[in-house]
Amino acid sequence: MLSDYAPLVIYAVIVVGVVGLLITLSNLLGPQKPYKSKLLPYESGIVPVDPARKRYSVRFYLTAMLFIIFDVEAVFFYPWAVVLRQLRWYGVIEMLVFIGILLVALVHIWRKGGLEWE
Amino acid sequence: MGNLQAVTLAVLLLPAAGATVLGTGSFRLPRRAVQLIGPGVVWLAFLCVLVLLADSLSQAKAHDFTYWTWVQSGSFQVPANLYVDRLTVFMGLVITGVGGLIVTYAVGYMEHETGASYARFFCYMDLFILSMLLLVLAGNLVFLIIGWAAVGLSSYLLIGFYYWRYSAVVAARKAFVMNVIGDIGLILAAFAIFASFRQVTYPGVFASVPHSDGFTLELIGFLLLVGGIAKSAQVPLHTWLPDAMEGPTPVSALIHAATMVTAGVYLIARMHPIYDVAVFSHYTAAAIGAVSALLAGFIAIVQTDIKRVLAYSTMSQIGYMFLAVGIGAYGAGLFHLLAHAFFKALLFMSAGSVIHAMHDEQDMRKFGGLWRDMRVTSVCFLIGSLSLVGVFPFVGFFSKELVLGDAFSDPNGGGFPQVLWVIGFVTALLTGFYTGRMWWIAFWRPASPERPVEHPHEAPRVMMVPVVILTVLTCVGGFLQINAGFHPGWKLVEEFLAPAVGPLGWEARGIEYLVTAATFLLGLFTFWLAYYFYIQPRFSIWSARVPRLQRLLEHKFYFDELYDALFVRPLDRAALAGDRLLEQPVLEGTPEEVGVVATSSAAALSLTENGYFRAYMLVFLGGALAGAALLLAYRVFT
Amino acid sequence: MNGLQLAATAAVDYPPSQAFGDLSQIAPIATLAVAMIVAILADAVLPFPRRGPVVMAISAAGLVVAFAFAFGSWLQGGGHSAYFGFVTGDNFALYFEMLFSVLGLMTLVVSHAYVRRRGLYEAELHILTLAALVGMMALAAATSLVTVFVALETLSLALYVATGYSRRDTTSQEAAAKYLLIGGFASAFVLYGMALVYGASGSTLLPEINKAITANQASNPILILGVVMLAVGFSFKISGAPFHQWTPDVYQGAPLPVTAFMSVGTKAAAFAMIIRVFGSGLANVSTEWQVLLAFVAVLSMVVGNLAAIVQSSVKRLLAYSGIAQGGYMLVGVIAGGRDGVAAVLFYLAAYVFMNFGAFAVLTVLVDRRGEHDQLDDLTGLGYRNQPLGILMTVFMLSLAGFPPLVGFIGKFFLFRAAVAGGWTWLVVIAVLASVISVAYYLRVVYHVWTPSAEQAHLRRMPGPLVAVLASGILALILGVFPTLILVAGLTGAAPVLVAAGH
Repeated sequence: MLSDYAPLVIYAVIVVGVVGLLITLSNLLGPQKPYKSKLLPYESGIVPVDPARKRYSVRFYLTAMLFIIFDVEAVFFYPWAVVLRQLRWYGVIEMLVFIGILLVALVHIWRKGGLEWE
Repeated sequence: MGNLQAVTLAVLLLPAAGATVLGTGSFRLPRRAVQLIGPGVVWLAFLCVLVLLADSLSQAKAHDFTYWTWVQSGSFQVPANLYVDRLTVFMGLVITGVGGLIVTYAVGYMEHETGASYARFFCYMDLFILSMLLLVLAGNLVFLIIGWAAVGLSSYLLIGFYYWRYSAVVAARKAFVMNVIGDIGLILAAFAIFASFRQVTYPGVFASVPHSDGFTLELIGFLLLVGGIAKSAQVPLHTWLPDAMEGPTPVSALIHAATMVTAGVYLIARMHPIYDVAVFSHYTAAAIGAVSALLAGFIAIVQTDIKRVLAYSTMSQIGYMFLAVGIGAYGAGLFHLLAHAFFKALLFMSAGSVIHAMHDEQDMRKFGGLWRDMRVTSVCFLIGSLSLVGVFPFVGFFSKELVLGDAFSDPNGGGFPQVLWVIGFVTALLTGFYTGRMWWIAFWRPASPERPVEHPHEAPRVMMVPVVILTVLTCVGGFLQINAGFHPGWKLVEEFLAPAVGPLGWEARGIEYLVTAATFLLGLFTFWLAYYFYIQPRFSIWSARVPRLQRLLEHKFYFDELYDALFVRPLDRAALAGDRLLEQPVLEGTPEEVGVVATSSAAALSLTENGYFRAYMLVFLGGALAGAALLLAYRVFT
Repeated sequence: MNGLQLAATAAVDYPPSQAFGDLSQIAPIATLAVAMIVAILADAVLPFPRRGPVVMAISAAGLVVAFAFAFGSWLQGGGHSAYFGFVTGDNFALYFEMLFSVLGLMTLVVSHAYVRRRGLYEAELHILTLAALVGMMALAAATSLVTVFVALETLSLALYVATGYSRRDTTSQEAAAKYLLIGGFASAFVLYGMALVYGASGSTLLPEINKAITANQASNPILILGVVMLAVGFSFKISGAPFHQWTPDVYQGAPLPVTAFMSVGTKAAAFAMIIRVFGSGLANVSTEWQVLLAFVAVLSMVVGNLAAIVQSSVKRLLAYSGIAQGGYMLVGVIAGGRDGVAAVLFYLAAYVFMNFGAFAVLTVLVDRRGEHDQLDDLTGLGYRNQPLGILMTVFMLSLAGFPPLVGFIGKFFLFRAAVAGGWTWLVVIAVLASVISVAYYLRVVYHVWTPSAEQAHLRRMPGPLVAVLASGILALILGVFPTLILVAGLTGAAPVLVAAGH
């Protein structure tokens, strides 16, 4: 029974081993001459102006959450699309109900002002 | 539901409704309503019992009314059933009839109480009646236990009615603890019955008795007896009874005369199919009754509180009943129960009238002169006293002679024929003496200089009427059972009860006439003798000659001191030690230490600080690991 | 063949008649879900002052209809499995659906009065309650690990938000945050446990799991690890020690109606889940989960009862009492069998009324300044409002297990089933623990009947009063006529046992 999982374990060992080996090797072999500007966070060539760990406005989270909801919705479409022929009209109706529920949520968010920035 | 079945249920529901209304509406009900509801429901219940009486007079069969199935769990089944036979009806008549008179009397006696307290008293009284009725109507052991425990609870409430008085609270607690010892005995007996018979209803249990072995029945009989002696204040569980006099006088009458203390007698009569086989436990009951009767008779001689004298005399008379039912003379025991309910309620209530008139003074040495000032009450009290002594033609004469006659003629008597009778006879002499002492000192003697009231007045009519009714009953009640004194007279009580408890197992003998005459005359003689001891000290005071005996009696044979040394003080010490060693360091300390409880006042604001949260996660993980480890260990070791 | 494949291939022929039949099996849940969606829309489009009453009306209608559906199906002898075995409308599910409908109605009236008094926004609280109820009902009906998890999260997420509903109140906020974090942690345990069980059995459907796992597979470490993780996650949901520490904080922080609702609702739903998953899906490794649950039960009874003694807040006291009560019910789950499961179902119904009633009494003490849940606030309640005082006494005595109240009968059934099942040592601990509990339940009673300087009569609050009164009457009636619900419990227990193959 457990032997079924042997490939998984071997795979995990290889992954961890290779990654660990690469990091260790680059640390050991590479030259290390740190100085101030080299240690700065990389921001696509622009010099950072203040620390990265600061508080974001809560509105970002709200938007992110709304995005996640509709993003996850999209995930459901893939398996559904695969078996749509087998599900026939029943599948179509079910998906319409699902979308309808999300639509209600959208209406609610909209009316409650969740989509407004200010 | 048949008519009779509905009536039986009504017997319980009426006092229940009364107690509920009085309990919930105690602040709002007008006084007049309380006065009506309190005794009213008891009298209505009495009417219902009369209906049952009419039925049981017409036929001797027992009814087993099942209302619904209360508990059903696997093979264990408890129907909600009530069992009505002639014994039930007999007890129901005493409880609601005499109880009704007492509750009516209380309307006058408690008049000084303020509104809420007044209603509270009647609520407790109705609750007590309800519990007692449930106890006798119960058709299965579970209901019996509930009724039994509820009687203990309501007597606790009644004795501690004056809860602002320390002694009342202590007395109530003592009564409760003693009663709980009895409850445990009864509950264990029920367990034993269920474990061996798989039955909880009376008909089922009694049908199984013949198939059981002797030891089991003896064990059950003994455990039932523990319950019985605690409730009936027999040696060695009797110490609560005198202290219970802290309650208001109607309470004393209710508890001592009519109902509570007779529960043990009822129990033995009810369980007679078991006791008929369990001979050893049966005679133990008789022996305990005889010893209690004698000891209580002695102690009563030195008591100075009038209610305590009556309390010890109650214990002594209950001893007679135990003696009777213990040898199998159920008819005699129950007839004495009835008679005792009449004359002891009468005595308590006339004593209550006196105490009422004396502004709650209970020391009878400070009375005196009542024959002149309270003539009606005095006559009633005298009739009660003579009945207690066993003087013809009062009811006590017939019932006591029946008990003693049956004890005398009992051919086996547990291997010592006539021993029990001798003890009963001596007790009868003591009864005459202490009753005489009480009568002469409290009523006959000229007024004591310490008497708190110059011109006492008679009780109001609402108190007087019940007293007079009881006086009449005491005078005529004995003629129900003329046979007790004169063969061949009719014996209505014995014949009525015979279908329920079985007839007397042996023939009464002719020589009893002599015995009867001797007991009666000597009892009267000691009553009269007390006059020369206490009023006209023709004989030197006996207590001065034998001070050691007097001290022994005044300390009530040192039962209280013994229990104090054996149980109370060691338990106190153990509790203190437990508090010091366990309670303070462990129960109060630990929670904060392991973070199980954030002490709550602080917790209200700072309950979810980060430190706590981390700790929670840690415990959570630790718990998961511990569970896994436990499972691992379990699998390794099994 | 795993569950998803099964669903996909069998779906080739899915006629409308079957679609309708499947829907009818989840009619109560669907009704409630629809009611919730309508309520969300109403909350969004209606003018502000009418939102609260309309949402309340919609919720009430939904609950009544849901109850009617469940009751109708119950009268017809119960439904059957639907949606390819993912959910079921059997008597077990129907029992809980009816219970939750009644609970929902009581919560509704108490919430209504509460938000009025505290000046909070009303509509959303009802919607959150409905969402949690949908989750609870679905949890009782779920027969696949997938639906179990989805239902569990539906109920949990709604409650996380409801806990923080009193937004200006920092304790409420902190309670919500903490509940969310620990709840997520516990959900992870459940999910990993499910994955491992799936790995060991090859199916997410409980009957399939039951078939796949035979007794000799009990030594499969994957399976055992899965069972351990499930037991931990489930124990969290019923606040069993040592996974209980969130309970007092969350109960205290959450608004009173939410506390009342979740203290009984979550517990009932979680017990439904435990009985369903362990009792029918993993019946062949019962020894393993019995050991684990016995460990949790003993700790819960001891810790809950001891800690409750030192509380001065009634909410916290009831939280610890709830931990201990969960322990008693676990005893019934461990005992198993027809009597054991029926006893748990009976006790849950009893517990819903006793505990909800006690919290509802506290609601009456709420005023604009906030909640008054200290023991001292209860002082003299019996004199300020006599019916409330009497009912609070009834609830406390019932929770403590005094005859003839329902709590006594319920405990009796539980312990008897456990003794019959050979768990006498567990019952001995349970009885001793419940003796301790008398101390703190009576402390509440003592406070209720101690006269206090505060003599002002309490303002009338019809909503909670109705809920309190209904609960109190049920606590009394069920104590005298326990068969009313016990029969239902026995009927509800049957499907699980059939599924387990007993």
